[in-house]
Amino acid sequence: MPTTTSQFLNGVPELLVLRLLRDREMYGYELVEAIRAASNDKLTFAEGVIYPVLHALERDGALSTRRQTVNGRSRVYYSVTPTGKDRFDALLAHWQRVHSTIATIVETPRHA
Amino acid sequence: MPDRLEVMREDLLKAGLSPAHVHRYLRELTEHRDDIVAHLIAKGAEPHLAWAEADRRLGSNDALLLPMLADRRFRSLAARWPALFYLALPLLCQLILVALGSCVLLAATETPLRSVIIDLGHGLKLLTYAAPIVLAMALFTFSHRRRASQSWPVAGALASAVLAAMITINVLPSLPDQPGEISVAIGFPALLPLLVIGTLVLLPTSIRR
Repeated sequence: MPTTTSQFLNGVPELLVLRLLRDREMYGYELVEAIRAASNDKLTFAEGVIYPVLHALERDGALSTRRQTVNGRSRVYYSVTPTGKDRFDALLAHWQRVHSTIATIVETPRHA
Repeated sequence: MPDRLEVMREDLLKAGLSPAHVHRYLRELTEHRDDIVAHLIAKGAEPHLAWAEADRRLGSNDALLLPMLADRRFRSLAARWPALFYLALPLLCQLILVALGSCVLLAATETPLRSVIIDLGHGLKLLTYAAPIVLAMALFTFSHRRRASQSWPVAGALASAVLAAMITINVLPSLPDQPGEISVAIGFPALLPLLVIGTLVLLPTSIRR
């Protein structure tokens, strides 16, 4: 299905979150640290916005949660569900399509 | 000065998010900020600088509020369908109460409770009158916790009062020459019960003001 211009970059935060949580369950702070580490500190963002992304994915059934108290703090651990794995595959395929399309345009621009 | 995350609580509630969801979001943000602070202090930062940096890294109020407000799925059922929640649901509860009560009365006629069937009928009638008052208190408490507008709860409470005044329950005991009768009817609201129940259901709003 062709992608509309307004949404062609949608799904990138979800893609990163699902990819990192695919390896192991994490809580929010751990996940942000994992993104920073995986991107060598090149991806910086308001860290709190990770939670609306996590909550939306949980609501869609892509993530499941469990609470655990660690050192007196109640952590919410997120892990990927089978639905989340399918969604990751779909988002990855979408991202690869967008990436290759943009790369083609940047490398060989065609003028009208 | 109040914590900025606590200030955000009001905005999130007024936007229609459920109190439980707001509580969880703010708790996760608070824990996240505490983790940043602990991490920075462990690396040798001064506590006040660590707090300032943690606040900066967490994001501005707008950055933290907008994604929650923009996604309609985060809004509670009561915020999305107030008429259904504050108006239709209480009326349905009342009708179910009356239906269940009538079934209990019918079942009681086959038991030794048959001798007090008239008292049971009066009890059900009293319950029917009390239900809107209890429901109204629940509606107002519920909407207050959610910082929701009072118009739907008031409409729901008044509709419950009208329905209660419209319901008549009559129990006639069986006599030697004639069978007993249990009847439930919905008709024109009785004026006195309507005034009394209507006043009582709206009492919580006047006290709150």
